[in-house]
Amino acid sequence: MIRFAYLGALLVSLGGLALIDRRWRLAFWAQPRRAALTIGVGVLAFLAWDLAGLALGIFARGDSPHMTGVLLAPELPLEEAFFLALLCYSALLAWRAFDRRAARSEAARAGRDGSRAEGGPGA
Amino acid sequence: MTNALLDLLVLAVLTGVCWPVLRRLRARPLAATALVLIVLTLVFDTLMIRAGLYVYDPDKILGIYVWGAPVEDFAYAIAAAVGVPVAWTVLGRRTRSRDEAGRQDEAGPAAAPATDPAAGPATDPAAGPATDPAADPA
Repeated sequence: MIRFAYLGALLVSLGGLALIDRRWRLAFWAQPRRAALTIGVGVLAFLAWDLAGLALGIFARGDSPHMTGVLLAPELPLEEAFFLALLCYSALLAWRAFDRRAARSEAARAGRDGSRAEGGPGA
Repeated sequence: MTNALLDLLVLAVLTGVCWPVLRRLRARPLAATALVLIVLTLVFDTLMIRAGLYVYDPDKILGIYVWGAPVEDFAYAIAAAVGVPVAWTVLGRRTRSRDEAGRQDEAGPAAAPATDPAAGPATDPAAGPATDPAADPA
């Protein structure tokens, strides 16, 4: 069972992000196809970066007992793909939330300015 | 090649490729996203390395650690904060219409997130593409 500790933790974390996504309709609950493609492109790009790091001997898989041992490529554990998905999904949700908030406050400011112009001074 | 060199190379290429889209996005949300990811990296990278999930060749890294995270690892956080918003923006030009066809009936008042008390219904652009930078005609 301990072999599934890391993968399990990653899946629980992804599930937590999905709850946030659903609650505020940020990514998959706003535009599912676009969200899936964004995460997919991100994961593939990061995997390529990992493979470059592995090929250059910069890092390697540790001897942790917390991994399944399933490998996507030599020294590249299955868990890495889920980790990278978590990284990309976190980035997407955080940015979508911050950007939406910024857009709203811009719109609110524009609305206030507009009503002041209509209502005249001291309205 | 050392990890620092590889990371700088990747970030330089990524930023160069993304720049035409990146420069049109709001700067503050991008910076806030990078900050969140840097803090998450600080905590979770430290834990992942302590747990022995992966190891570094000490000759290939600078040896500068922020808590338990090699400073080079923050390149992943920065790359995600640059690349993911740009990917979302670019991909929206291709996928938005198809996604919207499937969610016409979802976009009721329930779709409006209630995170910001300052944003009343009047200022709420229906929590949809109007809040999206990609909605600007290119």
